[in-house]
Order: sequence, then C-alpha cells, then structure tokens
Amino acid sequence: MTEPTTRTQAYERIDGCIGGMMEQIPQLSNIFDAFRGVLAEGAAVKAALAAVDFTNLEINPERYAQGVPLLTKDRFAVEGKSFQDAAGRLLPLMEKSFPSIRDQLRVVNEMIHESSIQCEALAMAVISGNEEEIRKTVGTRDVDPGALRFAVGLIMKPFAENAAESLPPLPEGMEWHQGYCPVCGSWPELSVLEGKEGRRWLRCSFCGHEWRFMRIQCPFCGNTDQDKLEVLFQEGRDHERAELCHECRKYVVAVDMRDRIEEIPHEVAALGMVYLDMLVQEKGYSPGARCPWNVIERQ
Amino acid sequence: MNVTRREFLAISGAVGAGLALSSLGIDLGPAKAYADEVRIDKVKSAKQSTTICPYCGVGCGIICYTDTKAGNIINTEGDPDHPINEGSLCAKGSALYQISSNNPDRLKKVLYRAPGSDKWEEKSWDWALAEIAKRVKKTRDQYFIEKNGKGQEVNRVEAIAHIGSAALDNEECWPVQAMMRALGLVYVEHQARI
Repeated sequence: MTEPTTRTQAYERIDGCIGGMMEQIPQLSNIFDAFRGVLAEGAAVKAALAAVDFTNLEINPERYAQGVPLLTKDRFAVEGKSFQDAAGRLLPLMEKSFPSIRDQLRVVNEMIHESSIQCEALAMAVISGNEEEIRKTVGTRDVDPGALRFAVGLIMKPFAENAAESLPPLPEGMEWHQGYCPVCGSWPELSVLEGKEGRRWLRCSFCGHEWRFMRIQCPFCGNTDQDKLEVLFQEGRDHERAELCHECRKYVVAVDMRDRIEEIPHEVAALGMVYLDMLVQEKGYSPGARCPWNVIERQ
Repeated sequence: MNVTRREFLAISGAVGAGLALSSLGIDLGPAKAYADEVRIDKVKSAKQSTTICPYCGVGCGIICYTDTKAGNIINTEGDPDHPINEGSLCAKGSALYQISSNNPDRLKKVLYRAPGSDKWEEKSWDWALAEIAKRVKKTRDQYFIEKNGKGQEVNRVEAIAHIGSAALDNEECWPVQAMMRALGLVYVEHQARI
C-alpha cells in the first residue's frame, strides 16, 4: 500500500473510506459523521509532519526480547507550537462533532493556546497517564479530566503515529511476542488478518504500529486456552469480528482483510465495528485498549 | 532482566478515550437499534481449535472454527502460526471442510453400481464388507502365485492392487499395507505418491 504524500490525499483517503463505511452500514452514520472530519484531518496533520530523528536511539536487543518496548513515552514529546497548530485544526472539528462536551473543548483549546510550555507538559501528562499532573494542569478550570484526555489523545495521535513510522528498521532476528506494542507499550485497538495465510497483526491504539501476533492467543492476558477464547461476528459480515477472552474478559475487534476488494485503512477499521463493541460490552466484556469511540457507556 | 509491573505500567500508559461514546452528544439510537437487530437475528460466535491435517505425513497445522451454539464446524483454514506450513495448505488440506458433517454432498451410505449398470444402488455396510471379502478371496484364490518361473517361492497376488486414500493418516496406513502384504499383494500404492 502506498502511503499518501500530501495532506489532501491523506484527508481524502480517510474521508472517502468512512464515506464508504457509511454506505455499507447507514445505521452507524451518526457515529461515522462525528469522527469523520476529526480522523481525516488528523491524517492530514500527520502527512505534513517531518520524520522524527531517531539517529541517537539505542536499541537494546536483550531488553527488547524481554518485553521492553523501544520507546518510552517521553520519546513522544511534541514541540508546543506544532501541537498548538494541530489543536487549532482539530479542536474546532471536535467542538462541532461532540456537542455535549463543546464548552469543555473550548476550555481545552484555551489551555493549549495559553503557552506552548504548558501545552507540552499537558501532552506529556496525558500520554504518560499522569493523573496528578493532569489535575494540576486543569486547576480550577471547568474541564473534566476525561474530556481533556479525550481531546489531547486525538490531537496527539498523528504525532505518535508519525514517530512510530520514523523508527529505523530493527536489526534482523529481533522478535516480539507480547500483546502490547513493541514501540510504545500500549495495548492494541485492532487485530488484522492479512495475507494469503491469514497472519494476525495487532495495531497499537496509541502509535499505530503493527506487529505480528499469534492467531489463538489473548493479547491482553496471554491466555492460549482455546476453550476460553471466542470470536463473535455478524452473519453476512464475517470479515468483521470481536475476539473475546473469557479469562480476562477483554476483547479486541478484528478485521479479516483476505478476499476484501475495497481498501479498509487500518486507522479507521475499528470505527466501522462499533456495533460489535456495543454487542460485546452488553455481555460484560471491555475493550483491551480504549479508543475514542469504543467505550459505549460510562464504566 | 524481567520487566516489573511498575516498569511496565510506566511505559504502557495508553492514551485511551477519556469519555464514553454516549457522553459526546452523538445520537446513538440508530446504532443501538442496528446492534439489537444483529444480536437478535445474525450474531454468531465460534471457537477456534488447532488441529493437524489428517492426510499425508507432512502434518500441516489447521484452525477449525466451530459454531459455539450449533456445535458444528463452520470453517477450516491453514494455521499461520504453525511451524510446518505457516498457514499454507495443499488442495486437499484446503478442502478439509468438505469432510465435515456440514457437507451436503458427503456420502453417508454405501452406493453400489453393478458391472455394466448405469445406476447406483443403496446398500448396507454389512453387504458391502461381505461382498468385498468374497471378491478378494475369489480373486486371490484364482490368481495366487506360489512360485515364479524360476521355481522360487514368491506367494504373491498380481491380480489385485491396493491404493491408499488421501484420507488415511500414517497410523491407518501401516495396518492397511500390512494386511495387503499378508494377502500377497505387490501393487500397494498410496494417493500421496501419485
């Protein structure tokens, strides 16, 4: 697959794909509509970013083999001005798409544009999951930390994906057998079956990196007991499925790309399966990685 | 060095959604109605089991999908994580699904076509086995060769040949060929060599 080179191409690729998903399942149009502009614009933001310089990155094969990802979260630090520019493009779209949190998004926008240093600290607090730092940054402002994480997470995504794509190729022989991302350590949001042989790839919920993983194993708890793993799908749309683990009660949505004619960009494939999220969460399972659309009701 | 839980958490704090979809102000009514419709009429679930192809001695890995409600196999495919075949299968392995109970064309009763006839007749297993035994004995008795042209003892039957099915596994092939040798057959072949 050729990567888009211009902002417009990147935007149109995602926009067109979500449009196609809408035609296939019009009942999900409200959800597709809400995320369409934000995700397409996010792709455009990413397309305009320069590659991150990792020439000084030291790769430790021993640590890697033992399950330590390549990059710590601080490696995803974003320069304040770039982050503000991306926020300037994405937040107005979010305000339009998510009316219930519009006022809070405006406050987030103000916080981000107050100072670039604060903005950098805020982004780092969110990506490292530092709740205390998030609360401190929010201060007395009328913003739910959840809304802040939601918005900053969406703004960060193009930067994180760009960083992961900028990594140099790994030396030969370095293998990764974990269910979390070998680049940043986050959990996968999507499982993809690809190629004639149906190899399974997991896509990271944070940096978008994809890595090979066993077909019959839960990425979240490592369970390989075939009696405690299950796939759930809709008859007639069996290329879309939810892979459940009865052991840890987590799941990941999966798409089988074999025999598909239309392109399904991995960036948005999980969005098209939000109906499976609804079905599975009713049964008491929770997504192994939370992404902006896959937690249906407050948990 | 093992990764401690603390270290792991420090490097894996995923940027998840901070909010539930239902709290963003999106009308989820049609989507929930669609999910309900799927749940009532179309939802299926399956268990994946790994197994080994029953045909030749290569031992390719296969994943079987079994419908968890109906209990029947709904799909079979090569196992990409199996070190022997890495997901690839030959034509027979790829068609393994056809030997499952779902195949409406699979023969479940003996069909017999008499010499010269153009019709198949349904027969019982007892009839078929007795008939095979009778004809094997008759042919063997008629054509059994005790000695060859040089007077050497050979005790063989050249009037019967045996071909092993691709559906036989290694363990089944051994007693089959042993039995054929005991009858004196020399033309003992297996589908895998053809």
